[in-house]
Amino acid sequence: METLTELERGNIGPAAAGPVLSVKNLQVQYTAESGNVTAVDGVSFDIGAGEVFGLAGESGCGKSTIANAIMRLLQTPAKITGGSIELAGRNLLDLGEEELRRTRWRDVAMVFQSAMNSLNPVMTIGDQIVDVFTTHEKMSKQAARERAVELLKLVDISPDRLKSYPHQLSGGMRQRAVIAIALALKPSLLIMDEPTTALDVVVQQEIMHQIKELQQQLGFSILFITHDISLMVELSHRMAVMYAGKLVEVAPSKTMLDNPLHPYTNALMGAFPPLTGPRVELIGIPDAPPNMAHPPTGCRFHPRCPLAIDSCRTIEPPLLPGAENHEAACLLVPGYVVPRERSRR
Amino acid sequence: MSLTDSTPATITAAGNPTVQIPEPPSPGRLVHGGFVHGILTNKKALFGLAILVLFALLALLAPLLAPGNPSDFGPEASLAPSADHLLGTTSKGQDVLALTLWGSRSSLAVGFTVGLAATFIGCLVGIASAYFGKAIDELLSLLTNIFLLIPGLPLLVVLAAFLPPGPVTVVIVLIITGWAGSARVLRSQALSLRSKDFVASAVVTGEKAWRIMFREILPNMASIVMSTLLGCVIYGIGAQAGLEFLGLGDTGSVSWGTNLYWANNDGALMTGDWWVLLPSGVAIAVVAFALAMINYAVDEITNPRLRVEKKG
Amino acid sequence: MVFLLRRLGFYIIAFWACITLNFFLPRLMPGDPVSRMFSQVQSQMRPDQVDALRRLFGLDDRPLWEQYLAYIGNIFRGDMGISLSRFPSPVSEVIASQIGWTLLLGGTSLVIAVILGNFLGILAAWRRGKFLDSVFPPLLIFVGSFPYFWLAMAALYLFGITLGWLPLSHAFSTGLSPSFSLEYISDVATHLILPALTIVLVSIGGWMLGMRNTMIATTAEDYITMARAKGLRPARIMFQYAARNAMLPSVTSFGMSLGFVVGGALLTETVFAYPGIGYQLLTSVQALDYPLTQGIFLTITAAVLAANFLVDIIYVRLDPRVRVS
Repeated sequence: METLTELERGNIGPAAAGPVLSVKNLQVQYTAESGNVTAVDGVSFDIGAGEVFGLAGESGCGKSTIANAIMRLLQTPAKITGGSIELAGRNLLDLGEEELRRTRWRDVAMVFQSAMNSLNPVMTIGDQIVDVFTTHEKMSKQAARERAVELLKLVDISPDRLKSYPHQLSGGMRQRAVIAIALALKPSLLIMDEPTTALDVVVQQEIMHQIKELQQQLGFSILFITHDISLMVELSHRMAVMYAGKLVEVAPSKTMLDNPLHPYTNALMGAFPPLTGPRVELIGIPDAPPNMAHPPTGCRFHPRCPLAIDSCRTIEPPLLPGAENHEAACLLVPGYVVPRERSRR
Repeated sequence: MSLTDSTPATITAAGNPTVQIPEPPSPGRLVHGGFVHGILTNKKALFGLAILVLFALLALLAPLLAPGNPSDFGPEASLAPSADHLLGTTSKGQDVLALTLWGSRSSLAVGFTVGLAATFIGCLVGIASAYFGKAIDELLSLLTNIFLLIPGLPLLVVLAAFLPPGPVTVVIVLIITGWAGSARVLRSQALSLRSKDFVASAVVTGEKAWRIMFREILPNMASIVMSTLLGCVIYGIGAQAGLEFLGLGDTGSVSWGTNLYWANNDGALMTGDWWVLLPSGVAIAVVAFALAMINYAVDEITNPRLRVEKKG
Repeated sequence: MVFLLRRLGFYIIAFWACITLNFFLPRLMPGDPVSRMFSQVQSQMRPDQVDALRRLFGLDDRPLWEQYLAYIGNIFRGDMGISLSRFPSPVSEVIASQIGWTLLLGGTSLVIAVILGNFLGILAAWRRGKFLDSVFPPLLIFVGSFPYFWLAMAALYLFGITLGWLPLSHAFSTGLSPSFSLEYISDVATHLILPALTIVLVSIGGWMLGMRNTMIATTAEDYITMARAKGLRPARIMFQYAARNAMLPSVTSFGMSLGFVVGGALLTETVFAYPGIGYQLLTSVQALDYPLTQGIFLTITAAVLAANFLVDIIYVRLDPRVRVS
């Protein structure tokens, strides 16, 4: 592993004042002919400097939408309809086109799900890295190429791959190349949307290991999105679980793994039995995820919840504090008292 | 795999290809009701359909609207449009309106016949090619590509020159030069369906080949087949007109193409008799355009990405 | 390169198919193909001359397969027989004398239509739903719905006859002898405008629509999203990322469309009496000059095949995925 230059160490240091990312009440809607669907409904969370924040949930729960919303990559029919996204204090939703373009990749970069599809098939890897430099910094092509070589070395790709085309690289290499491109401008936040889903298990582990190393080395924050909780637990400091467009639980990873407060989280944990240790029964979650055009009343999980009570049908719980640093959107969170129904007059 | 698979071509009236990407148009998900509804609410489709229906009616009613033989020479030659002759007369005294109305019969008939036949052959070749794969696919693809590559109009001219003149020759020659385009598009589409699970399960349960091809694969390609059909009809009408104009078709018959042939031959251009040249050409263009609009609409309905987003 | 070799093999097979077609067509005609072929010339010739001609055209008493092989041999030696309507000039000479005009007309129109059409297509896709995209494609399709020859006649009528701005026919004014003088070149250019304009008008719609649709599909690809996420300038994304990829299907279809361009040129030449081989093809059919007809057909086909091969070579350069590393 190359020793880091002073420049590369730039991101490590005392935690910056305030969170790197602050999402408040984000709402994203998809317009369809039959009516609008709210894919992300009032989601709020913060990510601190150097923190790895995992976001887990089923397919279709809205997590990728959040990622695209933060990068402002959403296109019709999707639209951000409410809330704010603050990156280092600046609301991204206020930025004009040109400002946005200049902010992109500098402050926040993204690693997409399928590296094969996110790389331009007719450009060499080298050119796609150099692209970033020549656009955002006043750098000569030669200097940019040198930086590109450094980046490739950072992710353990040999520099003679600069001239390779995406289809000439293996799956794992491509993903590492995409990560290298993402780190080019040393962003303070990296969004990773299912970065290992398209890879086989062995390569997956390599990539996860690489990501962990890089994060510790360079100190950037990560918003790590996946449906595979076991992966996330390894890497993240804190985690959030999403269901039907809302966050249902937020806690430090270890805590969430050991003591899930929300029945959905609990069920998710049960869906990934460990390979070692005593045999654990694989429990699935009954029924199907809700129709986002007409979500259930009250708590959105209640139709599938084994612990649902009457009030769950009418009251939609916000994230309630269950323990230190640990919130869950469930009426059964310890310490919360279900309000009596107001009597009709 | 031939590289030329990547882009099929549909054809406009002038024998000019429009390039289309073979987007599998999520056929399974489109219920027939939804499709029909889509067509009826799409302005382009309605516009196109209305024109087609109009022309079909005019063609059918031609004997009533313009009784007699339009080719008969008349006493009043080269008259500009007037109350008696709404579109004027030719240098041989024939009523241009009558010629145009009667011409629609041959042009539309030949156009649709060629369109249907070419699409049919294209379906057979394309689906069989996709379904059977390997040697049959190689052979049929080779055949298709050869016919696609050989320049159409020169081939048309050569065939028409050597075969005995007449309407049957025209139709046959047009089909020979027109089937390959649809075969390639349909093969593309059938290939993408072939790899889908429902076909695999049909194969495994021992369904007969022809049943799989025509009961499983074909219905799921309905919108592309329709699109191809429209393209082939456009081709048929345009190519027939071209052939007739060159004097290589059935010069004795009355069609839009022969009308223009005689107009050119009789020097209508030089004598300034524009009314002889205008109607048949415009008729071809309008019908072709209507068909192209319907085609455009079918594309939009089945491929949401091509739709223009509504404002607001 | 395996890919190119396969393509070359394919073109050779296609050419062979045309030669075979050419060989069998006259023999498929009802009646005696020979007498039909010679009907015009026969009356002017003595019987022994007619016999010599028969042998020359391979229509003698040798067994069919011998005639066939001899025919193929001749073609590859460039010997396409003797023209009947321009007896005794060899077919190849007759063709060579006029092919230049077709190349000029077809080439100019094609280049203009392709460049302009594709560029408009890129713009239309980039500005979806706005004016360029909603008005131009339907308009150009409408114009392209008119048969080539009709538009040619309309243009001729409007600009040549009514307005008298441009010449009515032929490639250059009678009386002028070919030379590299400015006078000759500008004369050729004025004669070229109308026919070329016709072909461009009719074909541009197809190019524009094709490129537009391909661009729309391409811009939906993930690497475009990533390019936007990288904060690259819109122009760079449009050309280096989107168009560069969208070009690929366009290039392949360009090859395919060459055949159509030839057809269009043929019809346009007829209307304008432009002395290219398209016009020549028609007059040869009318004159029952079968060897010339067949010769022109083969020449046109060979040209299209060669052009396609060229396009394949270009494609290999453009798409790295096709190259065998």
